[in-house]
Amino acid sequence: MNTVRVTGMAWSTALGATLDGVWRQLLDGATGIRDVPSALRLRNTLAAPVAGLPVSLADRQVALAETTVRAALADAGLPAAGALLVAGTSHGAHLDDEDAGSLDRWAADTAGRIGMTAPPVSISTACSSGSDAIMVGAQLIRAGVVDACVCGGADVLTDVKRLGHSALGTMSTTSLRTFHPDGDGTLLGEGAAFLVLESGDSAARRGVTGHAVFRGAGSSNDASGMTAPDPSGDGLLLAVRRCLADGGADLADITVVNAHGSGTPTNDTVEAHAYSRLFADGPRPAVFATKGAFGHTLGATGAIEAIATVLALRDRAVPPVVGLTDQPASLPLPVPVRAPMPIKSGIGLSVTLGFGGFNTCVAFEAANPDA
Amino acid sequence: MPERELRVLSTVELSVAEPAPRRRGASFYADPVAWLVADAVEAALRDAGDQIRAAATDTGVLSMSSEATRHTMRQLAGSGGRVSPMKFAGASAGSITGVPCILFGLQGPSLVLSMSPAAGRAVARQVARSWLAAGNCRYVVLNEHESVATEHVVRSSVVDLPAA
Repeated sequence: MNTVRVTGMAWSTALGATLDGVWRQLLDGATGIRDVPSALRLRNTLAAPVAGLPVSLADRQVALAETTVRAALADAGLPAAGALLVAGTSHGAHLDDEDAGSLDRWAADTAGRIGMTAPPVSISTACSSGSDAIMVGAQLIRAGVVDACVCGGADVLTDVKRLGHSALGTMSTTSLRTFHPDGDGTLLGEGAAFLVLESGDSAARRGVTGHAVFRGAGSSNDASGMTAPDPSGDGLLLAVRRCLADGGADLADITVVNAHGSGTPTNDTVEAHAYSRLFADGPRPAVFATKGAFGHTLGATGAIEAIATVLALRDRAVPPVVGLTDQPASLPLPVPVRAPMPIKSGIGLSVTLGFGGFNTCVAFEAANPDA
Repeated sequence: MPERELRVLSTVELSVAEPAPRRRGASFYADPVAWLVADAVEAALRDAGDQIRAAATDTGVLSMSSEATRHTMRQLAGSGGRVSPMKFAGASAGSITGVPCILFGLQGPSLVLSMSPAAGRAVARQVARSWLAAGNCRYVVLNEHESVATEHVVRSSVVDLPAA
């Protein structure tokens, strides 16, 4: 089976678009969430938009993806023509724009503008879309179908998404505080992130080690409900165990877990319970979450968090969880509070949960774990 | 070593001019296409044999459609600032896989390629092979939805990967 390396990465977030600049802000505990005034009847006008994008939502979706994919390819030093785009979104612009076309049009427009010659692979699994894009890209490389994929997600902030999460009651009335006992919901963000996955052979031919080694992926469906996760956490654990099996990894290898951490009490309770069970008798990896900094970027979040996981493995440090003031009693694992937390060399997991029961876990290891 | 080929255990095709909206309880809305996919999955599982229903935790679902839940998306886009929470949840394109998973307890890997079957079929089959070869599941239900002339057509196939 071909090994898969992460040879390029880029993100566009409310905290900016440079890889290390945004990472430093995360380590400093910064947040991109701010007031985004609206005449709509929302539970909360706080959100985390990306600056400098077109107003038209369909154009905004493509511009966000295009900018980020170009930056990821540049980081990898790869030309666009030979790479396959594997792109995910939750709804993109489709909930607000009746003329947004077929669901894969934004991905095709993005690939076309960049000069990628292969038709893109388009994915929509709600908030797991970005991590599912990584899983699919890695599978295609392992199977020898392609040498390199640009995998990730993009999702714009829109009125109907804000109204929908207000109507569902999943939007916080206060602030996004993952794993906080008084956490009352999520806040929406906007963003994109793409990782260039490349076969080990291709990277070796170019003399590139890249940022990380992709170790594996696993997914499951809760088969429970449309919006709320399976309260037992069993579905989530199925995805994690499939990921470990896919990567030939043991629980003892895990040194960090990037939680979905949406900030809704239901999500955070399920995750805290699941990780407590999973690591009850074994290692004690650090658990962190980034939605307090980026907002919940829906279809992009899995890719954004994959990059955060890779950077945490590189620097052996995880950023503090924004909004968390004390070690959560519900989660008896190390959680960074108010300051970055050092981690050991090992494997990092990034977990996403999406409407429709989608659970996805992707695993990475630092490119130079002994450095 | 050449990759093993998928084995098709059953295939069902359903077509309707206008998929009917349905409800399952007061708090469950799904897009009409998601219900149509669920109908096809139910028939394909039945035709594939009892062993599949007994292996629900090990059965994955992968659906392809470039339209998926656009019926509900369009309703929300034209809703004039009032959004039904149930329709918002049901507008997720992922529900064309999520709804059959919920209805039939399928907990294997799950995915939606938001692409036409013609564009997505090769990738879908490769992903299914990868899941099966890695032991992530024992069966995969592959669903294809497209609009043909005035009809919505769904093909649902149950596949596995025979031992080498």
